[in-house]
Amino acid sequence: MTARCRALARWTLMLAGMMLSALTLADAQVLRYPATQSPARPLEIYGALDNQLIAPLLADFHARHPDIELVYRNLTTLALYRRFMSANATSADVIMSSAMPWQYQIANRGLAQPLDSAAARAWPEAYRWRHELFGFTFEPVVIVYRRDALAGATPPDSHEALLRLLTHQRQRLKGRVVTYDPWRSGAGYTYATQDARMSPRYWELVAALGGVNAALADTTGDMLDGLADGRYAIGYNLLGSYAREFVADHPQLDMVIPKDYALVTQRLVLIPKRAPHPDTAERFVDYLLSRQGQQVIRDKTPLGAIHTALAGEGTALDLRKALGDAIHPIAIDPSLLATLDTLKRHSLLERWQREYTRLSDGPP
Amino acid sequence: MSPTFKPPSLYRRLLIWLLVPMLALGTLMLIQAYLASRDTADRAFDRLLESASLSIAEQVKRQHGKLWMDLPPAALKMLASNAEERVFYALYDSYGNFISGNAELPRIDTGQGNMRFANIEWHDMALRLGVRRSRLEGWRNRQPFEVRVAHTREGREALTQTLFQGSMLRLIAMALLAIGVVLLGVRMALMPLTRLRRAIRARDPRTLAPLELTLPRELAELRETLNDLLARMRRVRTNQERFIGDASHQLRTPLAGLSARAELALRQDDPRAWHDALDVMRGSADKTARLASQLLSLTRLNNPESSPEAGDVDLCDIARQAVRDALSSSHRAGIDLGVETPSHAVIQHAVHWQLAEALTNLIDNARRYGASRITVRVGEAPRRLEVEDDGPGIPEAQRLLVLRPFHRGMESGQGSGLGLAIVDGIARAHAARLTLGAVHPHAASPGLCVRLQFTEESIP
Amino acid sequence: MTPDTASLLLVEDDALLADTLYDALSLAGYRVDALEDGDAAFTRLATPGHGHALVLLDLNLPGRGGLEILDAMRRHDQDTPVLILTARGAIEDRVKGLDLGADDYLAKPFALDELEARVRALLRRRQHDDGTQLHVGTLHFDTLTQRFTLDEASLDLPPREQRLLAYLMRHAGEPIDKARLLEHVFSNETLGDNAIEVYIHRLRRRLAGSSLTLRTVRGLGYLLESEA
Repeated sequence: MTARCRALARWTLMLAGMMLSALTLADAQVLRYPATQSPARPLEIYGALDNQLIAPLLADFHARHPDIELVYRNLTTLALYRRFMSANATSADVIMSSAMPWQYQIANRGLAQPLDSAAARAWPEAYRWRHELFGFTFEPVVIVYRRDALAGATPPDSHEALLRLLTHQRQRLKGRVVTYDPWRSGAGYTYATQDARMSPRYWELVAALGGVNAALADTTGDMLDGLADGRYAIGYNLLGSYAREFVADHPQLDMVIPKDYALVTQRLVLIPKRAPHPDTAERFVDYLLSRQGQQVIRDKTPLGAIHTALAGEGTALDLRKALGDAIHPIAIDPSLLATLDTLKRHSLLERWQREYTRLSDGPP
Repeated sequence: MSPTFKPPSLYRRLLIWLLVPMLALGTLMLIQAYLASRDTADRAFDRLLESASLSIAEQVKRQHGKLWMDLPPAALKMLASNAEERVFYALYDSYGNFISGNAELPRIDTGQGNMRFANIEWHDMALRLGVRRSRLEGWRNRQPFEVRVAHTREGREALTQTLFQGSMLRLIAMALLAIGVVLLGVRMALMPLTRLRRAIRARDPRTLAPLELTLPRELAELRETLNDLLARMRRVRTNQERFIGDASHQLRTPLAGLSARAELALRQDDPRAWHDALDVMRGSADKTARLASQLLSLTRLNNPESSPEAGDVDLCDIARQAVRDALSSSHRAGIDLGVETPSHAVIQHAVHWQLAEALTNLIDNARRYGASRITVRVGEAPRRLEVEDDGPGIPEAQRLLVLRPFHRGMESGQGSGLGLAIVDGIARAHAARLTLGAVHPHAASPGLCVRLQFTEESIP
Repeated sequence: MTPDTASLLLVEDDALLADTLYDALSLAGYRVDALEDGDAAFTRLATPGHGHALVLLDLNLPGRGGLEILDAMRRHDQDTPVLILTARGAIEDRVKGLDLGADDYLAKPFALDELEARVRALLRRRQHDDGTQLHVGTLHFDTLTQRFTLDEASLDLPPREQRLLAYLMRHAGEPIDKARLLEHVFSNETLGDNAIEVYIHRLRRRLAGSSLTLRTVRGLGYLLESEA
């Protein structure tokens, strides 16, 4: 696919996404928890988080605050951002999204209001910005591979090992590797910028990916499905929170958190300044950061709890213990803004394209 | 002066004049310290804007015929600093067209140089804006462009606060020290005054000896003035003591005489002797009574507490009244008493009763010293009162002495020696000139003319 | 009422002086009442009808002061003459006393002669006010008949001398100057100073040999007085 084709495709997709987001609003991607106590206090949350992932959390919160009339709308990150930025739309009380740059952009523009609660004050500095933006999940970016496909070869437990594997087994792995499409997927683009900042050898990895004609997917779900049904042998840069459960259900798959460095992405929550019900919003965010809320995240979701007092599988504490300095959470800082820069985006994607096609035999 | 009113102390006065300007100065210094702190903080943070804009500008190039930049994330992190500032950046071309950025930031027209700074209000946020004007590097097409960066002011304000608090603590410490020094200094400077006060207070109230005390120059003057006053008081007291001695002598002697004469008469049986004794005693009693009343007059005249009420009086009136009062007794004594006045009033600002007292004393005096013709005269230009007699007069050498209390012009006279002293006192009180002169200098009985001549300053 | 039967009130707290004055005035033929304190004198004098012909009042008294008594008395009694006696001495007190209605003033110490003379003068002045008879020593003048008697003998005078002597009798003991005589005695005539001197000279000749003298006080005028 040429650059022009890609641009065209991107525009169509964006258009489709907008239509889809409009549809989604009308549609019932909505969870409702009616108040069981009066007076009822409304709370409306917009989140880019699948219903089945968020439901245990909302249920637990609602059980603790039965007077809250809770409505949760699930939107895509893009729709969420656009809806928030459009001046005339009524604002939600809480916004949760994994699109870290956009969330940061909102807070940076001064459109979020600070939360001053005990839990917020105790929240680790690295996982918040001011007291306006909080990361409440801890999700590593991982490599997943099929045990049978790599028989005889060393499993890629680091970027270095993956690059070696892709270089040495180029013929064998041709068409059998999958990763995010940085044009179409916001997450994919973000990971690419972070990878590029981590090491200049990332471009060698991109070239190697191009060398094996790696498939480009839009979501982690797509990649996992392809791995499960045997189309792909290796998936690079999958969202760990989804992969962990999926791999547990599919014994032929294995999940590796790269040992040299592991990017960690976070879902960021904020309370808009325009929130119609800031009191309930504060209660909800305070709950998300509280030990109870984090416990639910650890026990009933694959999202990974951050709370410093919580240990166990998938928690920040455990990952740090296992990998030490290799854990590399995407910083909640102004460099996120750089990823949103149009020219920057152009530069990075052009480079990506150039590297990807350097070793490839032809268009993928 | 009411008892509740307390005049401000010198100590307080000095403290106020030293401390109030010091506090004012301290306040100015605090303001200055705050401005300096803010300036320092601004300069420190402006350097961040400068380096961030520079590192962005270095990434600007020309690509596909347009301005292009590869935004370095580190530049943005630099802007955020530790205080988690909100950061904004934008790239503009030379025509002011927005090329890229996360906010449309305004331009800065004022100022000079490639880097300009301004405080702006932007979407309800107080921002510090830095604008860098730069050009593309290259052989051709050195296209100008502008990198605009901005961040919130929280970090600056925090740094300002920190710096200012430091300065403030130092200033407060210095102020406390200065206040202490001032308190001590003023106390030390006023120490001689305290010593002087103590020295005065410790004195026996009857002591009039001069103060012997080493004092600074300013206070030495005060001490000298005090010593002058004390010296004058010593002279006054000497005079008073002499006066009291004389007075007691003058009072005791006739009383002793009275007592002795009465005792002697009682021892005798002869009624003629009693009559003689009583006659003598009456004369002596009269003299003593007169002496007593003159002493009182003199005391009252010399009493500094009394403030006699002066008014415009007619000298002719006073002269006529004095003559009228003395008329019958003079007539009985066979003395020709008369008055000579102009036909119109002669007005003088004076104390009425004092002038009357003076004339009474002068008439009395003349009578007692053997005059047979007494004339009271009022003169004009200059205004004056005169009492003239044809008695033996006073030799020129004696004329000043007779003005002193208890001095008698003639030992044989009947007077107490106070009459002229009283007149002298009254003349002084009126700033009038008192002169004694002979009427007929070469005659056997030269007579005496006592003249009380008022001067320009004669307003008591 | 003759001088011999006049009733005097003496208010004086000093025992020696009070006794002496009492004796002296009694000897002179007056009836004398003596009071020693101010309150008693106030009670006596502040009410009308005390019946005294003259009051001799000390200023410095126990109880109420002399000036207060005088003030109270003058509220209803304007006639009775008051002679103030005081040791306060100075002339300024005289002014205050005279302002309050005292008739004369005598400062202690004083000669008995002086006191008696003043008493006589005050009583006489009172007689002038109410009687038709004028007396100066042995000279009498009946204002109704316009006749003079001197030492029991009738004294006939021309009208001008008569008017002049009558005026001088009314102001006996007081020097009268020519201006006053011209104004009060010869007001409707045109007379010179010399003419007055002529009449005075004539009167002196007529009074010669009697106890009366008509003195010239230099600068003050003519003074008629009795030597007795």
